[in-house]
Amino acid sequence: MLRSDSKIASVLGSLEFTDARLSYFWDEAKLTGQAWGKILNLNKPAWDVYFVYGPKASWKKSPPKPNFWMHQLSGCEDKALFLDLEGLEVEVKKLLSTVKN
Amino acid sequence: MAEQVDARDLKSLPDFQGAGSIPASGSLILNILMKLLSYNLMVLLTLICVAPLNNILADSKTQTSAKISAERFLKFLETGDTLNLQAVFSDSFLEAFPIQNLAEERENALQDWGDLKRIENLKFTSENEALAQISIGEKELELYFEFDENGKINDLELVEQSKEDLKPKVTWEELGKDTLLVFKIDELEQLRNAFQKDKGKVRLVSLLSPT
Repeated sequence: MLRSDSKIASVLGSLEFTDARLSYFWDEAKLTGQAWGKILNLNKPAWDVYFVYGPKASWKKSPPKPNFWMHQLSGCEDKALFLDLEGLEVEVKKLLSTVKN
Repeated sequence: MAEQVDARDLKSLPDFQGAGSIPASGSLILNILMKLLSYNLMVLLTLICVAPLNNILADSKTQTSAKISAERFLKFLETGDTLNLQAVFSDSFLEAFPIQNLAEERENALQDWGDLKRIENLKFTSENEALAQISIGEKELELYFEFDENGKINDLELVEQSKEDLKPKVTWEELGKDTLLVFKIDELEQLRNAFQKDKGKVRLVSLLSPT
């Protein structure tokens, strides 16, 4: 999304936090931003956004609407909450509690 | 003194085979034709040899420039010296990743991972690709270079393992490996597969700028 974005920057960024459950993707063509921008009616590509999906969420033709999401974008104040890590954690835990072990 | 033999006398030589039907004047013409033919063949062969030689020289010149570019970049990694660094990158690379950002990334990497311990084995893996092994802190990394036709660096990739594992068409099982770092999305289907594979679980998706 920024002029300085690049494959090498994404690789370097991915090294900051690693976990077996985590996968990083480099989206040079901004396909994801456009797809999520559309389903969230943002009128612009979505980025700097955090989507939480429950266990039932299913991606058919296009990405599903998230159960909950936060952002760090200007112009989205009426659509979702500005990123707050504690708030995000609470929502993730709520959804996790619905999953049978 | 060696005996001189006129071409017209060839017919009379007892050990000359196959010339029986060629008149003396024809033999002369044949001689001249053969000389012309061999000259033309020589020119043709020279041309054939020169053409690939030009290609080889061009390739070698590009690779020499590429080697200089890569070595200059490795020197930057080692010392942080950005003097003349701009000249080793292609315009498209610099547009996407200005020198200032590169210097910041280097600083961040050294700060996060530790000192640069070792750079070695700059090796060309194809005409326009090379790799070098570097060791930063506890990390053993491979730095992949891709060069343009002028031998300037067009792309860089820093990975912890063989590039073979970073091919974009991967299965979900491969995606699950924690050793894999970044996958390039060529189509949303790849991400969809990853998303669907974890159906039944809580999933967090974030779209971020790496810089």
